[in-house]
Amino acid sequence: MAQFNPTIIGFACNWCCYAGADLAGTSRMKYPANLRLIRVMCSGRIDPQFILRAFKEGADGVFIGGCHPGDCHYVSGNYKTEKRIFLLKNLLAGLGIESERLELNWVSASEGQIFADAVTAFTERIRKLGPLALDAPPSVSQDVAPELEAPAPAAESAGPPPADAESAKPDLGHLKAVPDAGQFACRIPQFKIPDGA
Amino acid sequence: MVDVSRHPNVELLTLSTIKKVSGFVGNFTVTLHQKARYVDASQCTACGDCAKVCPQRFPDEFNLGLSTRTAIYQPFPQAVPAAFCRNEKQCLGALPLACGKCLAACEKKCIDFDQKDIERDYEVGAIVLATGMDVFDATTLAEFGYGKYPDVLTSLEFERLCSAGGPTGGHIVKISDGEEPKDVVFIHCVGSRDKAVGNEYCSRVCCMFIIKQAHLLKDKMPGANVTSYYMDIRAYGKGFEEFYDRVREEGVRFKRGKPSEIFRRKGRLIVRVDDTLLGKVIEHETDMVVLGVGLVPSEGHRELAQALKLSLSSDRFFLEAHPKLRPVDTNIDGVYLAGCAQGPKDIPDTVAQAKGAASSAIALLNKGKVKVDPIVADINEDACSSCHICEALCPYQALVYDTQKHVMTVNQILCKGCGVCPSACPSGAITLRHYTSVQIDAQLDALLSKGGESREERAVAEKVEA
Repeated sequence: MAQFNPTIIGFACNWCCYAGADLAGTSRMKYPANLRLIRVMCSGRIDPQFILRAFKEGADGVFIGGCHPGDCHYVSGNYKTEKRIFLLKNLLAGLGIESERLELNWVSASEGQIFADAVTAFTERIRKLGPLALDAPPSVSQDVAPELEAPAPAAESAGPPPADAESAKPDLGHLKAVPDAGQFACRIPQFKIPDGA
Repeated sequence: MVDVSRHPNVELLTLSTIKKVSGFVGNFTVTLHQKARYVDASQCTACGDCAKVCPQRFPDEFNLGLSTRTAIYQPFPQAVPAAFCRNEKQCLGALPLACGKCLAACEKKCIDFDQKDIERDYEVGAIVLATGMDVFDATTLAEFGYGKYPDVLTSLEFERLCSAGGPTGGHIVKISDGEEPKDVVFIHCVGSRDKAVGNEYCSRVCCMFIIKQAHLLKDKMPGANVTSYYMDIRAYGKGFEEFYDRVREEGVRFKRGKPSEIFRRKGRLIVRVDDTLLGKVIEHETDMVVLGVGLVPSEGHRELAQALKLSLSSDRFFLEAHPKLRPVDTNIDGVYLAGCAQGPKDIPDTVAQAKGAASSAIALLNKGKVKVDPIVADINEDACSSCHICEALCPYQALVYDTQKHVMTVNQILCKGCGVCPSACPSGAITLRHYTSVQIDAQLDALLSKGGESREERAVAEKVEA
């Protein structure tokens, strides 16, 4: 069987990731040709609608590259991207798109190798996931609802949950990788926002 | 400083803080708060008659508490303007029963206890930040016993002791008993290159000022035993390495190792240090320890950064626009950096950067025009629902609400074209020129279409084939 060749759309900010990609190119580094890069001035320009449109129009994965936290050319655009992508990843699950198909990466202008490695790893991941099948009915919508309403078992008791609790849970399939859906309205970013940003 | 104060085109404002900065490059409005001096600086001749009669005594900040000053005082002999000032919190006041002795002593009658703080707006075209730095607070490092043992000094205190105009007239003595020290230890990198205190950076000037102070000490007291404990000697400037060699030849001993502890035993200070070149822990008995304290951002720099919307780098100093290509610019057009406000540096580097900043400001003002990038946000006023979501997102405060039209407007000089607002606008009223949604969608379509077909067209084609 021929190897699946995914189509990947990349959004790269002009100052860090795009320059990093440029460096990867001028340094003759190799990475899969599946990535098609779109330049934006700042990762903060990436409207979640662009990502959804990319998936709709046939992308199997979307790669986003911004500046490292604290390095944004526009002070704090990448923090906004981080929040938006986090929210969108949670929404994607509800739309029947695996959240692993969307990746946010920080690549600086000097990190050509890191860019090449990240793209290679992401392409491999999408290759394993296979083509995005959007035509399948979004069967997740019924499954997500009980999960949202069900009280978190850990909050009820400190002891081990009853044995049947696991089996009573609906089979969420690929949704298991998604963090607790209830927390996505507000979340502390993974990194510390420096003062003055 | 005297030159600056006398220049016809320079208005020097002392005792002033920036309250608010609005506007943009070429059109800044700076609101300054000038504290009352309580002395008419244009009349005062700095004769000092007022200080002679003042009954109050406080630690002198300039001599770091090694001497005292009165409540009406001149901060230091060469202070500009050459006039006295009064600390209203320390002064007993002018009530007939309180004090008011200085009022009577002043021949020129230039002391005015009723002077008020002034707040004034200044229209300026460019701003140069040269707010300097502070020194590291050595009391943070309890292991060195600074503040506990009087003979553990900071380098700045030692500098005052060395100064002919200092509290001891340049005579180096132990603070504890007034005797001359026979053995002095210098410690490098106190509060710099130290992750434990949150200062990872090298303060750059300490190596050289410690070498200079060791030289001064050897010069004044050739018989004294002078030892310097260092992590690395960074003598990187012009003539610095030669000076370091010369001081070593003068008999100052440089030992590699960072002291771990200072304590007192039988009236003498003991410095415990791992001499990394000898490979063993030694206890150095000494009379005086000088801590080579590093530089930290000046007090109030965060408020200033907020007022000017500037960013700070990870070391908490002001962030330059580009570390190599734009080292005097900031991310705000028309605001420039000079000196230690941007990061620790020595005098030659500060002078070089200050000249760069001044030239940048002059070049900007002389043109009378600024070039702005064409990539800016535009607002479709008909679509704007005035939800204000974009306003809070803009890091440049380029989005301003028009209270007449009830729509947001973009200040195209402040806008840097990042595009955070168009992707947040729920009404789709904002477009970023050259990066509009239509343009990006077109790119997406072009990149994703296989043979010019969209996903739907492909699906139809597949069905037909089946």
